Amino acid sequence: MPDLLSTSTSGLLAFQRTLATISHNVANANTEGYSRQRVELASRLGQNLGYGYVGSGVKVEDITRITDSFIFTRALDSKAEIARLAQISAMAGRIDVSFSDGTSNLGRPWSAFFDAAQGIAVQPASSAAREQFLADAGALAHRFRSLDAELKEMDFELDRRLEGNIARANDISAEIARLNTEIARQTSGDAQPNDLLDQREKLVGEVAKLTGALVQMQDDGSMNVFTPTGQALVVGSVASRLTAVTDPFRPERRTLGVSTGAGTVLLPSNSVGGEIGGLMEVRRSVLDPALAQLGRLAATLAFEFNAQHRQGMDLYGDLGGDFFSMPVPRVAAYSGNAGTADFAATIVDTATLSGRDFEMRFDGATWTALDAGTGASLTMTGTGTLADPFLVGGVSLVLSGAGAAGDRILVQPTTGAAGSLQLLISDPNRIAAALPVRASADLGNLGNGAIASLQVDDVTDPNLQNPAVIEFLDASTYTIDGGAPIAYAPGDTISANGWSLTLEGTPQAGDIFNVDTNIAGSSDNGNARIFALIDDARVLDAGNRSLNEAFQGMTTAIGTSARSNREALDAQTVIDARVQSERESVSGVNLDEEAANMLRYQQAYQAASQMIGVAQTLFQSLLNSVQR
Amino acid sequence: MTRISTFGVQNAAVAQMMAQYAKLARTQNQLSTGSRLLTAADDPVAAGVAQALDRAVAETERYGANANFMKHRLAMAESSLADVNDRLNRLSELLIQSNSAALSPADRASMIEEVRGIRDALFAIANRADGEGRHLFGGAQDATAPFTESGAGVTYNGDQTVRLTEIANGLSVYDVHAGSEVFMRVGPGRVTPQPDPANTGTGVLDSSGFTNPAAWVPDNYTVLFSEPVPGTIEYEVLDGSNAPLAPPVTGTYVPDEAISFNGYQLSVRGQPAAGDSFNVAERPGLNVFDMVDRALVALATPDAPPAVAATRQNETYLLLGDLQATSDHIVRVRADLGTRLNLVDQSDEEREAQLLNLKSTLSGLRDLDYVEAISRLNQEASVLQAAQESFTRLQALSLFDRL
Repeated sequence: MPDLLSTSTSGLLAFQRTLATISHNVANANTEGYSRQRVELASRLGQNLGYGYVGSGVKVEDITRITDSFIFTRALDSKAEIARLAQISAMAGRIDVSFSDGTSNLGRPWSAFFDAAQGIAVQPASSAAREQFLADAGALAHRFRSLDAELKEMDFELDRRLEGNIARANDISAEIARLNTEIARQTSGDAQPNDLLDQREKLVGEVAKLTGALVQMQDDGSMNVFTPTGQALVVGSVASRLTAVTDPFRPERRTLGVSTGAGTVLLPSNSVGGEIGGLMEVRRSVLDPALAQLGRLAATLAFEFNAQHRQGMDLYGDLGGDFFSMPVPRVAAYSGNAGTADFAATIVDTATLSGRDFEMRFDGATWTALDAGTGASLTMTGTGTLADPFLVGGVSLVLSGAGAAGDRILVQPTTGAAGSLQLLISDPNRIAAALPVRASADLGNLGNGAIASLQVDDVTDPNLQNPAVIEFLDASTYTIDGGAPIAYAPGDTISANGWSLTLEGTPQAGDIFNVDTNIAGSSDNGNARIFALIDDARVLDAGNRSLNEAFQGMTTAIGTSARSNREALDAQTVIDARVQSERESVSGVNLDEEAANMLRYQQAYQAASQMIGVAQTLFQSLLNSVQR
Repeated sequence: MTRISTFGVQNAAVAQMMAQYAKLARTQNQLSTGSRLLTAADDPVAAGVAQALDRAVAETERYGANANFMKHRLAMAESSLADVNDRLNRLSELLIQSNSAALSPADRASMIEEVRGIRDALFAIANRADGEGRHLFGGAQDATAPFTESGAGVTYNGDQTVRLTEIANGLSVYDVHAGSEVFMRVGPGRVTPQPDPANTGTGVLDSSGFTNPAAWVPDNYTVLFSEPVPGTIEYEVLDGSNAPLAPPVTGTYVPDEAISFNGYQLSVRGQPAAGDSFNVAERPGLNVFDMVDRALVALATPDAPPAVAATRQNETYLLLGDLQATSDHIVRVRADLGTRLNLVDQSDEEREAQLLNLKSTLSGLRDLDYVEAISRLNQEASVLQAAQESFTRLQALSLFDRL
C-alpha cells in the first residue's frame, strides 16, 4: 500500500532541500561568479496495484547550476579584451597627461628656449640675454630628460607588472588544474560539484583577464584552457608555466616566455591577450613610439642647433663648439648572435632620420636593413667601413667585428636620445652669436660701395678667418688677394675662403673691401639670428617638416593614441556590461524570485506536514476502531 | 520574460553612477581651468594646433619686444643725428660769419671757442650709448666707446657690422649704421677742387661743380696757372699724368670766368701766381671730426698777408661745400633710420593684427564655452541625483520586506 507517511515525508525532504537551495541562492546573491542553483524535482515511481499506479511522492532528481556556456565564452573574451584595453588606455592616458600638462609638458620650455634665442639675436652681447638663453636651454634639456625618464619609469613599471601578472597567471592556472582534478573526482553521473564549477569559472575568468582564454570541456568534467593563439595554459590537471624572460635585444627588459621541458621558449608578443597582452602591446604601440619620437625631436634639435652654433664665434673670439650633447643611437646585438659584429652609429642627417628602429641582418655575405616594426626592407648605401659607412635613415653605421650568417643587430636611432640631452655650455660668453668673420669697406674708397650682407657657407674652410682683400680693378672687375680678376655685376655674390658677401652701392676702381676674422667681444648677431629660426626651418622628413611641426605632430599622435584607446575601452566597457547583464540574467540571483519560491516551497512544506497529520489521524482512527 | 538579478541591478546602477560622477568631475575640471582641452586626448588635432599657435603667439610677442628694442635704438640714433645736424649748421653759420672781413680778434677767439665746443659735442654724440650699455655707433664692437681721440685726430675703433633683427615673421630690420659710415666716410667719390698748398698767389675758388656729370671722366686733374707773357695769366687743365687734355683746355685767366672741362667747371677770383694750381679729383669720404679741425685751423688763420688770407678763404669755401655734403649725408642716414623706424611701426600693427587673430583662433580651439559647460554641469548633476534617488527607491523594494 502506498504509504501516505512516506509520500509526505518525501515531500518534506524534497521541499527542505529546495528551501536549503533557495537559502543557498539568497546567501550567495552577492557572490561574484555564483550561478544560481535549482532543485529539479521529479515524482517518484508509483506502485502498481493492479487497478493502476498510485503515486509515491517526490524526489530530488538533481541540483542544477543555471548557466549558459556561450555566455561564459563571451564573458571570457570580453574580460580579456577589457583588461587588455584598460592597460593600453591607462598607459596611453598617463603619457598624454605628462605631455599635455602645463607644468610638465615640453611646450613651455621649448617656446621659452627659442624666445631666448631671439633675445640673443637682438642683444647679442648682453650678458643678461645670454644668461637667460643658457638658463632656458638648460631647462629645455632638463625637460627632455625628465619626460624621457618618466617614459622609462613607465617602461620599468611595465616590467614589474608583467612579472607580477605572469606569476598570478601561473598561480591561477595551477589552481584551475587542481580544481580540474577535484571536479573530475567529485563528479558522479549527473551530480556535479556546482560550487566548484563556479569557482573554476571564476578562476578561468581571472586568467582570461590576464592572458585571454579559450576553453575546451573534457568528458571527465575538466576544462582545458588555452591562450587566444592556442598556447596551452591548463590541460587537464597540468598547468604550464609562463615566465618573464629577458628580451634578447634589450637585456634590461622582460618579455613573455613559457617554460617547457626543453627550456624556455619566447612567445610572440601577440600570442596572449588580457592584461599581459595589453602590457606587451602598450610597450610596442604606445611607449616605444613615444620614446622614439621624443628622442627624434631631441636629437634633431641637438643636431641642428650644434651645426649652427659651430658656425659662429663666441665672445672670447673662439669658434663655437657643440651646444648640446649629441645623442648616440642605441645599437643592440641579438643575444643569440654567433658573430662578433657590432656597429658604431652616428646621426648624420636629420632630413632622413625617421626615429623608427631598424634591424641589420647578415646573411653571411651582405648586411641588409629592415624596419623593426614592419619588416620592410630599407634603403641602405655604403660598405660599412669608416671611409664609407652604411647609411640608413640618417644614421651612419661603421661595422666592427665579424658577423656570422643569421646575425641580427637592432639599431634604435632616437630611442632614449631625449634622456641623454645635455647642455654642454655653462659660460654665457661661450654662446657663439657672432659670425667668425666680418667685412668692411675701406675708408679711403672713392665709391660708395658698402657691405650689404655677409655669411659663412663653410665653417670648416681652413682659410675662413684669414684676412682677405677684395680690390676692385674697375666697377665691373675685382680680385681677391691679388688673384685672377673676376667679373662683377651689381648684386653679385663675392665668395672665398668659406664666406660670401654682397655689396650695396657702386664700387669704383681701386676700392678695397676687407674680410677678416671677427674679434672677441663682437656684438654681431649674424649667427644668433639663425638660432631663433631653427624651430621653423624645414629640416625633417626630407625637408618637409620643421621642428615645430614635428613637435605638434608628436602631441597630436600621443593625444590620438590616448583618445582612440580610451574610446576602444569605452566601447568594450559597454559590450562587457551587456555580456555581464546577460550572464546575470541567466545565472544571477533575483531575491524577489527567491522570496516567491521560498513562499511556494514553504507552503508546500506546510502542506506536506499537514499530510503527515492526516496520516496520523487515519492511523489513530484505525487503532481506535481496533481497540473496541 | 527578462530575468534581472539583484546583484546585476546593483552593479549596473553603481557603474552608471560612477560614470555619471566621472562626467561631472570632468565638467567641473573644465570649468575650474576654463579650458575645453584638459589633455591632448580630448581633441588631439586641436591640441597639436593649439600648441603650435601657442608657440606662434609667444614668438610674435617676442618679436614685439625685439621691435620695441629696435625702436628705442633707432629713435635714439635718429635724434642723435638731428643733434649732429644742428651742430653742423651752427658750424656753417660760424664759417660764413668768419669770412666777413669785419671780425675782431676777440670775436674770432670766441668763435674758435664755440667751434671747439661743437667738436666736443660731435665727439660725445658719436660715442653716445643706447642706455643698455652699448654704444650706438660702434657696429658690433660697441662695448667700448667706438671713437677715440689721439694726437692725429679721431680714430674709429668699431667695425662695419650692422645687425639685422627680426621684428615680425619674415621681416627683419637693420640696426643703427656703423659709426664709420656716419662720421668717417661722408660722400665718398665727391669731386672737389683743392688748391695746391704751395700756391703763392691770391687765387680764391669762387664756384665749382658739375655742368654735365655724364661727361665726367674720373681722373686726377690739375688746373695749372702760368704766366707765359708777363701780365697775362694763362690756365691749362692737365690730366693725371700731367698731359694736356685732348682737345687741350687752355685760356687766358679772367677772374670769375668759368674754366670748364669734361662736364665740370670751376671759377677763381683774385690773382693766381704762375705755378699755382688747383687739383680737381674724386675724393675719398670725409671725416667729420677732421672737418671741424680744419675749421679750427681756418678760423685761426690771420687775414694778412693776402696769400695767407687766400688759403683761409679757399679752405672756408671748401669747408662750406663739405659741410653741405655732410648735411646731405646725415639727412640720408636719418632718412634710412626713419624708414627703418617706419618699418618697425608698421610691424607693430601687423603683429597686433596677427596676435588678435592667433589668440581668437586659440580661444576657439581651447577655451571653454561657459554657458554650455554650466548647463552641462547642471544637467549632469541632476542626472546623477536622479540616478541616486531611483537607486535608493529600487533598493527599498524587496519581497522579503513584505513577509
